[in-house]
Amino acid sequence: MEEQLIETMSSDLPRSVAKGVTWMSSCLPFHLADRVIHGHNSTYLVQGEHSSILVDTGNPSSWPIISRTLDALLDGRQLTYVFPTHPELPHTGNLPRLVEKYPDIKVVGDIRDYHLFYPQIVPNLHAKVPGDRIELGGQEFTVVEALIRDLPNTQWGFVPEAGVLFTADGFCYMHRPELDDEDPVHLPGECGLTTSELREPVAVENAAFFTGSALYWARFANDADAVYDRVLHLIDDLGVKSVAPTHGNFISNIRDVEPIIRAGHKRAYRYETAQP
Amino acid sequence: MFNTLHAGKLAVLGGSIPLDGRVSWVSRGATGFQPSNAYLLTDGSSSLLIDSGLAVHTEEILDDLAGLIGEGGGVSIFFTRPEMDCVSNLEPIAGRFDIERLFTGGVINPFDAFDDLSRLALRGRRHQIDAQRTEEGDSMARAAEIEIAPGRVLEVESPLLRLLPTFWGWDKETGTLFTSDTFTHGVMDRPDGQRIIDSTVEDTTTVEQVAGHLYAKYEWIPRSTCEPLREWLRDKFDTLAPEVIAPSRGCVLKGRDVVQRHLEFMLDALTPQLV
Ligand SMILES: [Fe+2]
Ligand SMILES: [Fe+2]
Ligand SMILES: [Zn+2]
Ligand SMILES: [Zn+2]
Repeated sequence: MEEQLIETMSSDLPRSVAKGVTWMSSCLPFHLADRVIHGHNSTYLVQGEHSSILVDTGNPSSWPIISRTLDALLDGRQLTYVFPTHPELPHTGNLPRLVEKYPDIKVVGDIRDYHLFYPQIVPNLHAKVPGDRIELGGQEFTVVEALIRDLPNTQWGFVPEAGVLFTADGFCYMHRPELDDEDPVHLPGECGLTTSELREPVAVENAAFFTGSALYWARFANDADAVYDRVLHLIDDLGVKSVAPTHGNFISNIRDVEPIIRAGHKRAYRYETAQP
Repeated sequence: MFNTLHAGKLAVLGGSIPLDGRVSWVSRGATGFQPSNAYLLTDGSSSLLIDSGLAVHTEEILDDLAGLIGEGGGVSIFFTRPEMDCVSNLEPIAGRFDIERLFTGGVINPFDAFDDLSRLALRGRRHQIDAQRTEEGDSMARAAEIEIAPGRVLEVESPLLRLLPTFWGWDKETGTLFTSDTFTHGVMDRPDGQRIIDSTVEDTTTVEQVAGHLYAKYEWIPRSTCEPLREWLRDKFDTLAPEVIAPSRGCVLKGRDVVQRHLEFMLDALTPQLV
């Protein structure tokens, strides 16, 4: 049997999820002792009348699929911008390939460290700070401070026209797909569904599993309420309609999902008794 | 140019980077130059490289490696983290040397950064070092051993003090503890300055400096429950009594007294109200 070298991709994606916003994804199976859960590794393409921006780059191993999907969506146009939320492989691993494919592409965001990791793309790097706006034509991309993050050089993004907030590792969770005995990790399943389309709501345990491993610090910092209160404030201020995390289904009902993610984040904290 | 830390047993390779506001893992306003480190453990004709340095230092790393193991030689690699400051040079190393084994943890396979053909060729070389990780994910007590050569092993553990999936290594033979992205605070005032802080060097490190480096990346420390981290760290150093602290960036800390002094700095930095 030929071993599959490309990550498991959802056949339900790419999918348009808001005005000018396309959800592109791979979804990877995680085999735990008692169950298989899926973790998304999404990228999102935001298109305006004259420009486009890719949010996160996906893993290098899914490059062939990402490249083909971009060809279909851009229909002969060049990709104008890429916004890596932070320099971890699943988020930025395809930067060199993107620059090779689109030599004029502008890499925007908190680009500290990138000159050390990818010296060949230095001419493409353009530093942005929260509040900066990128005009795409009838559509705008705004850089937002990341309120939940692992690496300090993480940023979030917002597209006002579409009401979509891109939260990188924030609001991430694993999902349990509808299992099928014959084809336990493949589709059709839940990988391409928005959270309001899922048959069952996101499970707190799956949110806790992701938070406990990807946002490891949550086990030492007992401040989930402060963190998520700030996020809700941001959501109100910006007028966010939906949330697009890198690792999780597209969140179309943020008011329903936020308390579940918050509860999962709280559950990751480990030292209840040590608190004064 | 590499520095020998223990003749025939351990060398540190890599370049240095200017702290010029373009680096996220130091506090704002930090100045000077920070070494970026890869370590080569050798025993006879066997060698294990710990981390691979930054892409911006590819040439130095590869040339040093050629000097140490011979052009095209065989080398095993252990990554303390799947982050770009550790894994950047995997592909160029694979192009010039024979990667015998690759030891990594977490869910990211660094060979995923290769094209399909090379990935296929290298796939069998990867060894998952945290295969029995639990959902809880606390530190593993000496979970894995990497054999460098018969009778010489690197003990591998996932530290309690970490940000992303991280492994520390312990080489009993040279008394060296490889601490990845902690103890990274030793900087130099010149790009070619003294890469090793030992008893012959005037050590001007302060606890504020140690805390500044720690909190720049571990920004959650000041608002966290740090007691378990201090306990774990003290216990680790009591048990191992390392002679050398070898971080993946920052100066190498060498000698019992130096190690002890910097452990105390770190324990104080992990008591944020003291800083
Ligand atoms: Fe990540
Ligand atoms: Fe991340
Ligand atoms: Zn992520
Ligand atoms: Zn899935």
